Amino acid sequence: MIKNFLDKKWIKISLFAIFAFLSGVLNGFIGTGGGILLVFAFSRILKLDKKDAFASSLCVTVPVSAVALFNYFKNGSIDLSLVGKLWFFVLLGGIFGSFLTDKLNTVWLNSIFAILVIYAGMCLILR
Amino acid sequence: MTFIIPFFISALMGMGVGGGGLLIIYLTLILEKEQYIAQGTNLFLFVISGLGSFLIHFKKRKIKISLVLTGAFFGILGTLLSSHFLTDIDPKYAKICLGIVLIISGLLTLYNTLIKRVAKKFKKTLYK
Repeated sequence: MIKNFLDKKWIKISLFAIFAFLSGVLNGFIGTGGGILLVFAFSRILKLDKKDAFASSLCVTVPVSAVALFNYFKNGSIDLSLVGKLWFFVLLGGIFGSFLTDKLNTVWLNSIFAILVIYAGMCLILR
Repeated sequence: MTFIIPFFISALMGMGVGGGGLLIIYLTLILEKEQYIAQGTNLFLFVISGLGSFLIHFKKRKIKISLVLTGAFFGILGTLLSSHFLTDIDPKYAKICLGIVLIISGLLTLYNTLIKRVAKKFKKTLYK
């Protein structure tokens, strides 16, 4: 019965809207993390293919992050000199990575990333 | 080194491995930037990186514009709400919150990529 309820289109869209809202809150508050919620929403709620879910999440997160950026600008919380040094390499990296998406098996990369991120999370909490 | 690490982090982001979390780790733990400065700088660099990979993914994948617009609308609402209260919160709590989000994200990624696969293979061998 619950499954039938969750399969209704308006329920799916409402849940997706809630997840999108929460992803915006997270992006505004800690500057990251919104993408995780969106990928979940696109893949598990809207049943998109994993790679389509990631791509759709990126399409949403970029403008949302751009809006969050304004507040950080207002508060002077951006190291513009560092952005000036790194922007070109970051842009190249993004383009390079998106070309590699279908060519590499990312299972091991994802696992290494996961361990790194868990370790980093613990460092941030304990320091 | 200052340029190589962000390049590779951004490449990983473009591949769908991780996200802004990796860049923020680099900014806070390696470059030792203050929390809100790291967050703001991370957002700026993420938007730049995202713009680079966005067009390529947009061409390759099936993207439903209506869903993206709905997501962006509610996402922007959420961002405006949290940004409004941002300056009232001690950066220490933002750091802890980020740490928790990173740990959960890492555990979920590990479960979905490695643990599920290992369990599946183990089940297969068991029933052979």
